[in-house]
Amino acid sequence: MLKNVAFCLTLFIIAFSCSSEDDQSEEVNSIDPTESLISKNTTQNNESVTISFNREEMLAFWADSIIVPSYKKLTADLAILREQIIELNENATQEKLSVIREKWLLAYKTWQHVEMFNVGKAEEIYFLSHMNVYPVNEDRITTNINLGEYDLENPNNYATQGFPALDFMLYGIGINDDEILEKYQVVDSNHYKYLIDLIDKMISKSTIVYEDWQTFRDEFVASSENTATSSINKLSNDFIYYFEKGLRANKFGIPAGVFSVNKLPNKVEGYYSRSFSKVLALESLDAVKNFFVGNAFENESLIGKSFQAYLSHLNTDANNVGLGDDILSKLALAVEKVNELSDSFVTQINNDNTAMLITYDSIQAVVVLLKVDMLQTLNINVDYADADGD
Amino acid sequence: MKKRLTLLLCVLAIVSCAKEPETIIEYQTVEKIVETPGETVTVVETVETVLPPDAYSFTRGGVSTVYYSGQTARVKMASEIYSALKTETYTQTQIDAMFSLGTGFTDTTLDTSGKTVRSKTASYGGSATVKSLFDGWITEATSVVFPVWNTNGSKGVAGQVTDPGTGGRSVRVNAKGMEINQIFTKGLIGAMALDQIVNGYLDKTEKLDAAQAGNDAGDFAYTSPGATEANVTKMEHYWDEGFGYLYGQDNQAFPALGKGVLLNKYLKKVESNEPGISKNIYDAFALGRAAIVAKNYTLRDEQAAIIKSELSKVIGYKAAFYLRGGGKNITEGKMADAFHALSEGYGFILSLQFTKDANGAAYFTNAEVNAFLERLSAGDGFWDRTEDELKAMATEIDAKTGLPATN
Repeated sequence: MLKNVAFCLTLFIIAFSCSSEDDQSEEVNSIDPTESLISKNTTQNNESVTISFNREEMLAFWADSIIVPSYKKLTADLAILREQIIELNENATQEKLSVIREKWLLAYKTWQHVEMFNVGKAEEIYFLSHMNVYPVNEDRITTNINLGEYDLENPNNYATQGFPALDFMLYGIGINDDEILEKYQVVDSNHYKYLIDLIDKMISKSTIVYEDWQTFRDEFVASSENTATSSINKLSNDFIYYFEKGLRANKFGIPAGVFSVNKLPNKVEGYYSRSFSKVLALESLDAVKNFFVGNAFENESLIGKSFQAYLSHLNTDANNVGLGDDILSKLALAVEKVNELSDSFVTQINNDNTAMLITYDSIQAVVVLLKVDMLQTLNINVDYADADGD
Repeated sequence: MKKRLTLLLCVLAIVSCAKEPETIIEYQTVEKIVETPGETVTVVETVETVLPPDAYSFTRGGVSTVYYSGQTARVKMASEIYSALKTETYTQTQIDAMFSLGTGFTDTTLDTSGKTVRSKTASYGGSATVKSLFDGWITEATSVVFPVWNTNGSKGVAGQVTDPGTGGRSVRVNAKGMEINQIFTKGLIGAMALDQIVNGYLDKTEKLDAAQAGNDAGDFAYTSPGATEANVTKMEHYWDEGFGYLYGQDNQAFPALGKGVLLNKYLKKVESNEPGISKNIYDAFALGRAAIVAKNYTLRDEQAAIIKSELSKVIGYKAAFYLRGGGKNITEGKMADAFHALSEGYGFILSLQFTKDANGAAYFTNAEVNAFLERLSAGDGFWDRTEDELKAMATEIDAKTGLPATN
């Protein structure tokens, strides 16, 4: 890691000293990422070749074609899930349970596309903490259900709500489906009430975030400068933080035991359903790739400005010119590794944890490129630190 | 009368290349030329000077004389007790047994080691009254904190407290916001690990003097693993036992640090405040042990003094560090982080009474520690503290330890 930093630093110095030599002739190359480049195609000295990278355009694409549409889809998915859950109250059948599970998975997959956007309202209302904290605290969920009274806003209850708690409520409260259905067969049972409270909380949080984007959008796009609080800096940091923690650590590292004495298979995402940890991880990797490349949400043929375009714009010196492609090929390798794993990471970890660790390594290889090389190129500082641990 | 003394150092380092180095002490021959007006007298004498060994590795007849399995057992026990104090399914009886009887561990080799943590807690420095505090904390963790593991804690109410946001810390605390497992473990760093080294095994009057006659006579009192008959003197073994309280879970020749939950873990952290501190300590352990073999007790005590004052710094730094850190957390509204930090600070402050600075005095007396802890836990305890108050307390600690603020 240190070696990498030193190497990059060296490259940076070389790059810097080179550009100062020929900044007369190569105006295109001396673009400082700290400048706000909203003056696209200015006719300085009658030279219309100055290709500036329009950062507002990138932010607008992020907001209009990726972020807002994915939030919209999430709220829609959750509304569909809620309709089905309501029907469970008077119709606790195997068929209904299967439909609910299916809708839960669809919404959970959509969630993989929004978890990385921890800006604006999402950050303010601790959206992530209400949606995807796992493993759940089973004891506390049981206590909540039995008491019939709980405050889902209290941080103590983060681990009792969101998609993982739904996973528990739909798959984990009995040893088989009959036993699970039993819990919902009494109309307005405490279990049903808890389930509906969970989905209501998720809908209300998602709606708050989605609606806020209608007004926040312009503010977000206008903040195109390079400061610690500007949109690009914050979202770049969120993106990498998500990749490092939400994806690498939570989905792979922690359950595989990278950070502990023993492997911890009960900490996988989608623990109770047993068969979706891989699907969710692949969806998440897809979301990362799409955001990096600039593929519009659910419309991959529409490509806009994102990190890849920004990097190839900034990396004009020969040494770094392939960084964007490098990141994508390493990412593709990681996807390949994930594809080789069992659908259930619990099974995978118990049977062959080495494959899980190898996958972790391949994801870690991307982290290094994003966190060191990419941020260096974008001239953005990391705004988060690893916890001291104790 | 003016005498000019020229010392010609002629180092004859005997570097042994044998696979099992028998040489424990390397010798220097010192030639003294003494000039007095009118005449020059050249006196050549061999003075035995102990050179620093590369590693903490000593043999006799090809067999290592260093072992400290009892210390390794105790520091490992401390790790397991720490985990148990964080696991709400443990009962008081179970944790009491681990602490006082040395049984009930997941690692069953610990059960048969015949060692206990409690017998080595608050044995020498500070006050003997400290020992029973640990019993009290086991009772409090199991009877006050465990039953409310999944209910909300608040000012004056024991329970769970979680910080808002992604990765927010979750702690289980008593009514004063105290995380008992932290207080217990950080307290044990001073009351067991440090106390045993600083006030016990490396102390002249407590341990070493009584072993001097035997060491001088070459009486072997202990048999190291791999030896067929006694091959270690009492004094050598005492020193090794001191070493074991710091490195018991670490590598003897190439310590990595950061091991376990006690002093070794925090020595690593302090390395960033004072680069080189861990090497100073390790080297002093090695040279002091060589000095014992060479029967050079002056050199031994010089090394003991280095170990004592340097290791004490770990406690001094961390006691102030966690008070400041906790203060910042309170201002940021991160109460779970604050409670965690202040609980660590509480344990480190308790540990201050077992320290020994360069003058051989503890940073804080037992009475001073008690008064300080009373201030820290006054009223509703950590719920009532402010950043300003905690900063001021940290500054008081700095003033006593003479160490710079690190955060």
